[in-house]
Amino acid sequence: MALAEYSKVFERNPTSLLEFGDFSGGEVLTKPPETLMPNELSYAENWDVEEDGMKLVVREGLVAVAATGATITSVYHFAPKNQLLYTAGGHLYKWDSGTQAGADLGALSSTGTPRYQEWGVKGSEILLIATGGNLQHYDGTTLSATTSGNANVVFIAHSRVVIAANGSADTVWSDIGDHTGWTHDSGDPSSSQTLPVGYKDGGDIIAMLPLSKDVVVFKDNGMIYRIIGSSPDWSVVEVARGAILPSADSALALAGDVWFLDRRDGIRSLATTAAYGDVGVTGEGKAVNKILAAQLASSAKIWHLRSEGKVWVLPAAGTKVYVYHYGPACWTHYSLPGTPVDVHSHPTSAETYIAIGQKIYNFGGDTDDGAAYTATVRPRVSREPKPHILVRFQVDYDPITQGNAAATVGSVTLALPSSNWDEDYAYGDTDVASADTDPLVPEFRSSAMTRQVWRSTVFQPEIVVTSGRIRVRKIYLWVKGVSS
Amino acid sequence: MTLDEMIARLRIRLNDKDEIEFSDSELEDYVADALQQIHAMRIQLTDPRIIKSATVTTTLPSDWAAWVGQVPLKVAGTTVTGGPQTVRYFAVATIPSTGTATLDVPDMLIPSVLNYAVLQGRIRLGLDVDQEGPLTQKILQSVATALGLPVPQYGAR
Repeated sequence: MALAEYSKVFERNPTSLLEFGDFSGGEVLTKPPETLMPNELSYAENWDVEEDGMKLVVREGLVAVAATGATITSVYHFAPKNQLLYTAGGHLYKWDSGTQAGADLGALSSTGTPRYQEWGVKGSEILLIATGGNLQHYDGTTLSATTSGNANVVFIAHSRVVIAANGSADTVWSDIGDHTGWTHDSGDPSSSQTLPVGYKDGGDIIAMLPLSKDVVVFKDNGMIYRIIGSSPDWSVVEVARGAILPSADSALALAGDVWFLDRRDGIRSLATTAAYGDVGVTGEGKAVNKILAAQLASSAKIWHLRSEGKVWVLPAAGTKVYVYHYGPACWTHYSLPGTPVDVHSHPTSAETYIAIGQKIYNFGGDTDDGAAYTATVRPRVSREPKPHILVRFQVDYDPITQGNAAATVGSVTLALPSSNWDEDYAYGDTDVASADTDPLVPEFRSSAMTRQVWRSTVFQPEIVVTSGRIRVRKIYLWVKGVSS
Repeated sequence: MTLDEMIARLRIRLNDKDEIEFSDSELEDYVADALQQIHAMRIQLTDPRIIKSATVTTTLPSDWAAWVGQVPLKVAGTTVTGGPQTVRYFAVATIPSTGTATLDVPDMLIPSVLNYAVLQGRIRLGLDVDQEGPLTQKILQSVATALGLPVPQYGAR
């Protein structure tokens, strides 16, 4: 049962050690708790698994950066112009952090979910915005319209802007290098082109994403195509059938692959590997797929939080998001103060913006806009065929901010006192090396221990942090096998 | 030593200071059992400290446990025939009724009471007690000798 057994010749009930110090498996929701591997967690709410997989840390809180006073429908961090944009009530706004107010930039062309695409040469980037009507563009000061025709999806490929509208199977490609040129001229190969994808297959385009040098197109009838090459030497190739995306926001380009949600299988991916063109249930999603697939609704969304190294999956309107940590390659879940409407993390920015209700948040601190949140984690269950008694229970952890934390095993409770620590390591600061007294690497700061007896056949530690943040390093349970 | 003090010591010995595994009433029962056990030993060892004297006519004293030596009385249930006679008898053990009641054993026997109660707790936990049992007996015997009690005389009644 144990990883290590300390046995002495005179010890009649040998003590075994149950040690939890490897959390790299993350939260696994598709297996019963007693069949999990030692590194897997049966429950992890509001926890992050650190890069090395050996430490658990309570997630950062949400800090409101904008209280807009209107229900937000999308958020975009226009990093090249350093502007925080959001949409509400059919208008595009720019948040002014000085006056703490949103400046109305004008009405959007339609009421669809806004989709954004940056475009232009460096220094004069513009933002293309598709909401279902004519494609609009924003240059940092003015919101203007084009005559593209309806666009719900916008994307750039081969130096053209590509749009697709709901209720259509056509991809419409702009003039080369001109987001305002949408007139086809049969004598000019560089002019606007229209390419139907999956002609008469009975579906409409809902999403377009890049996959290596191709464009992957998702249709609402479960068909996936890729567009190979550029006009006029292009071809449309079928990739897969039966991939039912719950919503238009459920596909994501991630690290050269395309991840998408599927109503039956949870998370699937298209990869540019030897298996190119194949659609498989990804290994990454195995821990959550069954649960996800059962919850996926038409409001499902998937976001890439680049600055955090995470992917969020919102299966349905609600406060629970599944979080994939791609450093340790594992999952946990968060409970948020409201349903996240949109999340944006610009590739060149260290900030992630999260729109919930009327506010835009980013990460920081240990409260959700002043309200404490609870982080709960339970590793696997150790179920023994014969009774054991717990004789000693220990948790090694780092207090990060002041708060309340406790660990329990069955009836045994262990308080984890916490305090504010200045997280400062030699590798992360600019002190002169010869005068730097900070530790080289984070080392554990606190250890709490209790010696009790508790007789049981089922042992599952649980750590609950009701306020503040801690980092858990090791959980130890010393148990003795006894006669029944 | 009071019953409460004994239970506090038991909790330290059993590693259960936070009352996780053992309730107070369970430990009180173990102490009562231990007191009975020790008392039976003392009767067997004819400890004069628990001997009382009374004139018995038709009924046994309510705290009667056993006669001391040979007594010219016949007992059936609680009825006595052959009295009145002034006789000596061993009283029953006094079991504390409240937490503040003092345990009715000489201080030198307190460790024996504690050990007996600890044994009950460890047996209940399922721990191996093969060695503690004989050890407790040995401690009790050495204490008995130290208290000046005679070698057990079987058939003394």
